[in-house]
Amino acid sequence: MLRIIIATSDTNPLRHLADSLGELPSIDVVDVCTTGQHAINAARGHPADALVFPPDWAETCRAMRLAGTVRSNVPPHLVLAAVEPATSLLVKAFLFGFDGVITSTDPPETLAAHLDRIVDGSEQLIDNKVFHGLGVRHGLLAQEIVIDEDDDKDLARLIGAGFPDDDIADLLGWSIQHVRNRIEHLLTLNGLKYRTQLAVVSSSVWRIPDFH
Amino acid sequence: MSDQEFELLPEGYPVDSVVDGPVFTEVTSSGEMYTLYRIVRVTHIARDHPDGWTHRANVVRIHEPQLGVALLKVVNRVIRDARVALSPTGQ
Repeated sequence: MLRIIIATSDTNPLRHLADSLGELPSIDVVDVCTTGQHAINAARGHPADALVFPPDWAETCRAMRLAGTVRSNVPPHLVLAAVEPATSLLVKAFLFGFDGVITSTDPPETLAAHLDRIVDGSEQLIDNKVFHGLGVRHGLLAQEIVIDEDDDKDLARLIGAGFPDDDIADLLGWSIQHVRNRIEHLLTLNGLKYRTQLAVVSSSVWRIPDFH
Repeated sequence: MSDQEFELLPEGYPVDSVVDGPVFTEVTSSGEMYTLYRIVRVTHIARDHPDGWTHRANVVRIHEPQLGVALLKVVNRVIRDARVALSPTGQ
């Protein structure tokens, strides 16, 4: 029996998915959540094999991890469900640390089989050919920026706000050489390859209000 | 990299007479990838280089060490821009 928690949103309703999967004997839909707080409570209250989120909840999963929501030794697999999982969604899911992406309009039996493969590890996002040669790692953006010097907090914030190196140098009163050296340090420290990755992680508002 | 545009500096020419710090970062033209280098020796000074380069230097890549030659744009003892050509590793 696969135990799943499904989150649904106004823009990407997955209620029908919960209903159809719930009718299968191999699936136990533990809860259907409509808010981040609801999802936290469900994840804390029930052991689950998979959390299924709509695409617009992709960033929620990171916030839940950071909030320490999932405390079990075997954390549930994270799955995005979309009507048409485009390549861009696969990449987003991969970078945000999801374990799989399913097509929400597939027949229930197909969905159940797909979820089974994700949970037992026989199907992994990294195996998808779109990731070959990209040089990105799973969960790259599902992390908090590590900063080992206080001055770099301002640097990270300004990068996240979209400022170019020259403007950051002016704003912080640093030389352009020092700004770039510190950016390189942040990239290396956080295992990031591209400046844009640093900007994305730095700029994201991960703490969703209804989590508090 | 024509030698006519560069004047050879003495072998013992101190790095700190050119720049405040010997460590600099080369940024790719896309602005995305940052690579850290240290100047080992400033070998040449440029004479009105058409592309604005001011110095040439031997450098070493700090992570995954490898030697290379860098064109530098130094303004007020700060490296504003750099282009590094890594030397063949001989492997």
